[in-house]
Amino acid sequence: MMTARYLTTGVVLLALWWLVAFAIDHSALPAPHRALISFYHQLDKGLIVHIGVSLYRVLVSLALSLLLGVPLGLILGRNRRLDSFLAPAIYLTFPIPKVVFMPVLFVLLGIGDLSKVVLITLIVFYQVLVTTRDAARHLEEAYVLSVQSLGAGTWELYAHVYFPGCLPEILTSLRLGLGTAMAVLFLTETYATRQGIGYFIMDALSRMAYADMFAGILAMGLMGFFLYLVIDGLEKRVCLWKSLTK
Amino acid sequence: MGNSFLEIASLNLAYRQGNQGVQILNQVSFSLAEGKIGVIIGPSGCGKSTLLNVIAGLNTCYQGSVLIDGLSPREFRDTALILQDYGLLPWKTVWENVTLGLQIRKHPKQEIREKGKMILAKMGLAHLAHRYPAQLSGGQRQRIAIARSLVLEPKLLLMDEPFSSLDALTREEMQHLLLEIWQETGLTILLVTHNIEEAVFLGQEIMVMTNLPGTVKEKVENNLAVNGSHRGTHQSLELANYLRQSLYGVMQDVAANQ
Ligand SMILES: Nc1ncnc2c1ncn2[C@@H]1O[C@H](COP(=O)(O)OP(=O)(O)OP(=O)(O)O)[C@@H](O)[C@H]1O
Ligand SMILES: [Mg+2]
Repeated sequence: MMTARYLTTGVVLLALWWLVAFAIDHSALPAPHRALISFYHQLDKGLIVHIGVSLYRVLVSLALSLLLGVPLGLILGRNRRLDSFLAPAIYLTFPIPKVVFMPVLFVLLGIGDLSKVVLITLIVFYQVLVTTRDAARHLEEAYVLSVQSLGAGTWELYAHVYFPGCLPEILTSLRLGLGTAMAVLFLTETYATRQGIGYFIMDALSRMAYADMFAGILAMGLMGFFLYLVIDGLEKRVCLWKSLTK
Repeated sequence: MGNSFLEIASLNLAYRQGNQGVQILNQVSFSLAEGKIGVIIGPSGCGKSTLLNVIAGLNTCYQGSVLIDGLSPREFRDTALILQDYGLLPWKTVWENVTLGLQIRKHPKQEIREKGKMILAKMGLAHLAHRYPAQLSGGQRQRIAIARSLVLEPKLLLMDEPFSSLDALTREEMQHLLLEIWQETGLTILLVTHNIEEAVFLGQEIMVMTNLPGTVKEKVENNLAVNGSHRGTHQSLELANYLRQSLYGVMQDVAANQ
């Protein structure tokens, strides 16, 4: 059922693309079949490696963001004292568009994977942190009391109440963070690197190989879509209870 | 004396609100003998839940003395508390909820499985083990909350308005179930309720609390509440009327003070 709907939507999108390409009739927007053919050929000629590199950068960044943002968010959400101490710092730095630190990170950390991963992590981490903290703050106190009355200490509260209780919000923040991560990934890959889908796209652009460029855009889109599906599936499985509670 | 299991003397508790304290419990004193069912009734907001939390060891900001079997609430480990809205975790299945206490107390896996199965079967919940709380009726949820407490084999069971959100029939059914459990285990039970009939039906000792700051104004012995068959009898109606008058008195004191 779901697959059928996705397929139909995919076909409709391709048809729209084809219509627009036909109407504009410019070499910069090739028809979908040309992009697809190029995509197929380019896979063997190295696109697959670029995809692998990009995927690696995004996955590592998302994992790091969760690893840092979730525990810190839970701790801040459950400790008034600590939170009131750190909240102003978070409040002030949250709205700063962290991408502006890209040049600084390039200089300090070099132009390898590290600076890219750090930048993406920095941005997604904030989203995860703030969402998790707010979720932990608003957890119903009755859950805490009831599990405490069963003999739970602090650690058990994190394991049985705080973390699972905030998991739906955490996964939502991850889903939103994915979009941001992909955008920042593209940006970081357009400078001073010879690997990644972003580089592949910009390289094709400079060669005016527009079909290749769209092969790269397709790769980026498919990667995002695939990751989105993974998170969505995770959300459905882990948060079954949430869909029942309403 | 000597055999009073739960002993509360001159219990005072204040919550901090801004920079001034609000007195919630004021000189609460009462005792409950081992194996008895005690019931607390009192107007809404008079500190009944707060009092239970203190006895359960969840709130330690009190003055005065609270002793269970000679120990402080934190030291005495065999207390189980059933919260006003059951406190079941919506993200855990019935099975996970019921065995959570055993898991937290690090019982061996085999034992957890056996005890969990036994209590679910006993409470007629075995077929619901894989459901989530949201998929259950109010009565079923209440049963699970009871199962979750009983599986720990407590010596003192604290219940905060356990049946208040159930329909009349389910409520009576649950009251009988509780009596059965009590007769079987010999537990000491302290139960909070708004419902005067429920107090008369279950409570061998009925504590009437006053409005804020709450204190136990009167303790009524109720010899009717042992066999579970006195519901609606003349004597129980008389006792209910007496309690009603006593509670009205409490309310009027408040009105007079305002
Ligand atoms: N954390 C808190 N901080 C400040 N005041 C509180 C806090 N918790 C409860 N109170 C106040 O303490 C009083 C007693 O609350 P409690 O929940 O014990 O009443 P209750 O008798 O159980 O009421 P109900 O019958 O409605 O359940 C109330 O006036 C409430 O507003
Ligand atoms: Mg209450």
